[in-house]
Amino acid sequence: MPVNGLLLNFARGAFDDVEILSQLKSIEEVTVGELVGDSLPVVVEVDSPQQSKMIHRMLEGLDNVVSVDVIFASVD
Amino acid sequence: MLERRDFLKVSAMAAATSAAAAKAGQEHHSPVVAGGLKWDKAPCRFCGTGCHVKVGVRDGKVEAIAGHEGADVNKGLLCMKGYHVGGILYGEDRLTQPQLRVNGKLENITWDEAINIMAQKIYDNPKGFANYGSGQWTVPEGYAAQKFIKGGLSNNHIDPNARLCMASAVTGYVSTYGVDEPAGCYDDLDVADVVILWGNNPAEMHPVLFSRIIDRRSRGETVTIVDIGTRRTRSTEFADEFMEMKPQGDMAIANCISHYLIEDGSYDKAFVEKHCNFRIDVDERTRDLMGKASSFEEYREKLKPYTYEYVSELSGLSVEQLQKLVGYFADHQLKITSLWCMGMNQHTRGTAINRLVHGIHLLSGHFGTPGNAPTSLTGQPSACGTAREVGTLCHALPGGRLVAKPDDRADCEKIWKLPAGTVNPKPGYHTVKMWEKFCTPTSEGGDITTMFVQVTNPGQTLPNLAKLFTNKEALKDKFLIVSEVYPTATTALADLILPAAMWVEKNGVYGNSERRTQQWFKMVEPPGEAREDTWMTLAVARKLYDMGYAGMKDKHGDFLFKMTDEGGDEVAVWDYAHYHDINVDRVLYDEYRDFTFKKHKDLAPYDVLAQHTGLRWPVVQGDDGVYRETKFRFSEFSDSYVGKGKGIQFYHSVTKDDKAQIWFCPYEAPPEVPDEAFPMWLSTGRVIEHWHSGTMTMRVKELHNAMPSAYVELHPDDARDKGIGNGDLVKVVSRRGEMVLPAWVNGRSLPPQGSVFVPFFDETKLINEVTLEAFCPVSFEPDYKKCAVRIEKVG
Repeated sequence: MPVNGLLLNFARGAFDDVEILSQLKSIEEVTVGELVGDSLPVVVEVDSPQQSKMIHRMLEGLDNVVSVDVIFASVD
Repeated sequence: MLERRDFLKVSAMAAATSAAAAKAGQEHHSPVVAGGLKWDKAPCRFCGTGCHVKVGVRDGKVEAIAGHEGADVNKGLLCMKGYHVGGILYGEDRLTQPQLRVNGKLENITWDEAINIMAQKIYDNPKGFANYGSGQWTVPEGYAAQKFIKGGLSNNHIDPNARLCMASAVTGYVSTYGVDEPAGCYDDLDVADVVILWGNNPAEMHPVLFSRIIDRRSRGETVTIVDIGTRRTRSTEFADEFMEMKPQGDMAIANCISHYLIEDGSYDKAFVEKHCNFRIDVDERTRDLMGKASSFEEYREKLKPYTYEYVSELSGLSVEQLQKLVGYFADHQLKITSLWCMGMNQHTRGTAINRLVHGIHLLSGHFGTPGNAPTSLTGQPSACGTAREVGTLCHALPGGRLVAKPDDRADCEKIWKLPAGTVNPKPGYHTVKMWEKFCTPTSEGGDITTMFVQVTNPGQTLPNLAKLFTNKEALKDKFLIVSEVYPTATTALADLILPAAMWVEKNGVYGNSERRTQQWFKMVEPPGEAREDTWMTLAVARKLYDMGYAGMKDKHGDFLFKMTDEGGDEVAVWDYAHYHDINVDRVLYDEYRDFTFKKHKDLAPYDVLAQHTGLRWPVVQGDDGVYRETKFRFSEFSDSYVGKGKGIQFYHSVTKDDKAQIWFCPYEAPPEVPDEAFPMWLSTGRVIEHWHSGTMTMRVKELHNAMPSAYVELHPDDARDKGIGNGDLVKVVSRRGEMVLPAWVNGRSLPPQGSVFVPFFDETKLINEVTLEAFCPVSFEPDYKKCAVRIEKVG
């Protein structure tokens, strides 16, 4: 069961904490950290690598997200 | 004991958060969310020190302030006002709605109505319109106002309140070095062996800077502080020497020092020969900016009367004290920084005394290396950055240019895309003259009929208020428009009040006393209908454009303030619904930046500036693409504009030979001195708890409680002779007016016998009803530090 640490990178000044946080918090597999600059650290805990990829793509598609960096990937 | 999965999740979050922090650090600054607050940076709203703060915002409100530990100026420290700067936004009586005075009463109106009224007033009589601005204008605000009136209306009646505080510093710098602003910077304070205070009180007025000097002692360093002043202050408590001076004595003291440096042979002959010329006034009666060329021999001859004995008589300093001052400057091993502020600038010979102190440093070679600097500090957060550098003075244009110079006018017309001949070559009215004209009946030559006041409080801060402000009340054809954040002595007479956004309720750029330009982004919304001052200028300009006023079109027929988005489409920034579609500050700043290169005042690009806690100009891009600030101007080791091998180069020299000017200026007595009817001196100034007219700080509970009201401070012997005890009500009377204040004896400062001090922050005690409007003939800056009064116990 992969545990990944990701960085969501937003367009400068475009982070809308109300909207984005609501969306992210509604996703059971995602734990949200604290915004630093225009980057939001999140942890994704899923059942399989396939599911991990799906969530990654979904995060990339969020409004104003410019890119998603993979910072930490657990190895089982 | 942590389960493995929990350990992985914690590790993942820690790693991602660290990566975010590292990413933020690649740019020097980004907002940070921590502890539930969103933190961003801004310069403090108050004084010219330019401390940088961190502003913590939650739910749209400023909730916390901290000193910015990464800021060069204050390194995380703030003064008592700085720690409470967030509170200035939340006074209960914040202005939130435009208001028009109808039959003596203020009525709420819409912004459309307000802008229409303003535009019509200007349209009907554009030459009779004047704009009184401020050293608290942001750079874009001042630039927009400047372009509007000088470019759009071909009218030079714009002057900032900095005329009342820094104009003499400007004329001193320009007539000495050929260009405004100090050569040194705050780094001088970190290494100077001797710091001489010329009539200023930095312990209260620039406390963070003063701390920078005093902290050196706590680290075991030796710093000698010499306090030359007309009263003992909190700064005196830290001084090694206090030299009590008679008012205006500074001129005699300065000439005495120069005289003996020459007579003793201890002046820096090589420095003077290589880097200096000499100048004097044109004749005995004429006082202007440039004077005429003189010689070392003539300079030496003119200084001869300034013997120790003569100057001791004029200044009140003892011969020994004068010898000590000479001794400091005669020692070429010492690093000496001279600091001054209003004591020398608010002075009927302000230009002259500024020149003289610059001259001592040049004559003795205490110039151009760290710790050796003559530096005028500023009171306002952007008197340097906006009032001076943007050129919002009645004779000036952006970037050190002058309305009187054809090339300078042509530069403006080119950048502003205006037809040749648009900018008026005749200087407008300076502050005292402007208000005099506004408060004089039109039938008697009072040709200013509409006055627009922004970000300042002249109803409290002008000298001789009855003549220069209150008279307006009786003149029904005069129209006063005031943009403000709170009700003030100025709004009390306003015909039209415009509620303004302040500080972090808008984007902004300020410039502090050491040439440091500092930027910030908007963090919270202004209350009610309050709007940005820049928007007000753009909206009025557009209204005039729509009314067909030709000056609001550039030579291509476009709106004078045309702004486009990234796609090149014009944005209706005059319509508040679209004002924030683009960063208007950036557009104006970028245009203004083009002006800054001619006089080597290069500003950094906006995006570069936004990443720093300020950069000192000239900011020059190296071959590696990196923008670097300049700490010490005119010195080859620091200033990239100095030619190779020159060592020191005054590249804007008025004599066009890379040399600075050492001036001789004779001692001249003040225009009003104590006499039988008015036997005491009055000096006015500030206190640490309040900033200027107290509009902001008096509404912060902690600051208000620390200093709730003004007072008159007098020597205990004078108090005893008049039967005055602490707290007794005393009437301070001059030829111009009177004011009743409680007496404070043995308070925080000690005026000498025959002298009193009153701070001007209290709007219920307008001491400027008593002060004198006499001004320096070169800078037009009034003298708030010396007039004649008598005091009478009340009851």
